[in-house]
Amino acid sequence: MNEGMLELPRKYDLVRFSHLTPQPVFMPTTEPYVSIPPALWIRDNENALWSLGFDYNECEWRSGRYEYDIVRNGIKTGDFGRVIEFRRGKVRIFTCEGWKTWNGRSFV
Amino acid sequence: MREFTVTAGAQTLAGTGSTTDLIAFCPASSGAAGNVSIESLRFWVGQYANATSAQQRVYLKTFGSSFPTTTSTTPNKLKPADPNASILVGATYVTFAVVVINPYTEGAGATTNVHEDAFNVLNGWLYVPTPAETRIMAAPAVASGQPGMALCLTTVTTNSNWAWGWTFREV
Repeated sequence: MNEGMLELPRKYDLVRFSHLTPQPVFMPTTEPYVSIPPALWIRDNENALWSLGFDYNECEWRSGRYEYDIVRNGIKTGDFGRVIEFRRGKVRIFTCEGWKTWNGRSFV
Repeated sequence: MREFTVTAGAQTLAGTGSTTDLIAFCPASSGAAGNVSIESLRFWVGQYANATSAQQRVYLKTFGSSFPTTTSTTPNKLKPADPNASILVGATYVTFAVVVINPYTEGAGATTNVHEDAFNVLNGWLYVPTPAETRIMAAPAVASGQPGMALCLTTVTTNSNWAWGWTFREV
């Protein structure tokens, strides 16, 4: 995972980026087929909060597309993607390498 | 680099009318040092008070006159290694080179909606234009008033526990 001087730390400052904070348990699990963007976040079946971070893939940006880091509960997962989708209880991301699915520890 | 964020969390919306402004900013005038324009890279809005599904209108608009406000904020640099500070500063009203959050009222001047969308309050709203679609506000001439851009909601169901933000680059 990139943690150079030009990247944000692996763990986001949740005071500053409060929208990446896990939400109260009364907030419901996200409905199927919701995707980020245009949604801001996804709450999965484990009540984990997913969103796009702020570090982007420079090569993709220069080619006219964006690809941001994937964030779970305010912590970078180490993957970059353009879309996060919640489908059939699984969190999937669309990257420059195609679709990947979260297996509980990483995207494969 | 020169990328900055303006964020607000756990906010109670000050505006209660049909237009609720979240962020308003105005670039520095073209006569200022650097002649810097503002490229908006991202806007986001979300809330975690209302657990009931509901649609919410959100839009971006430009304005051309001063903008009375109540809350000052200072842009933070996005990357820790960036040695620069933003040319935008916090203030209690919008004029050249300032950014504010959560205004209570708007100025009297004309506005133009430039982007419209709607979202489910349970899911929030994230606007990330592709590199070719980013919005750039050029540094305006002093004679053109204080033209700027604002992120707004229409009347909301629940005013508490909102979070929103804006990422921009100085170009």
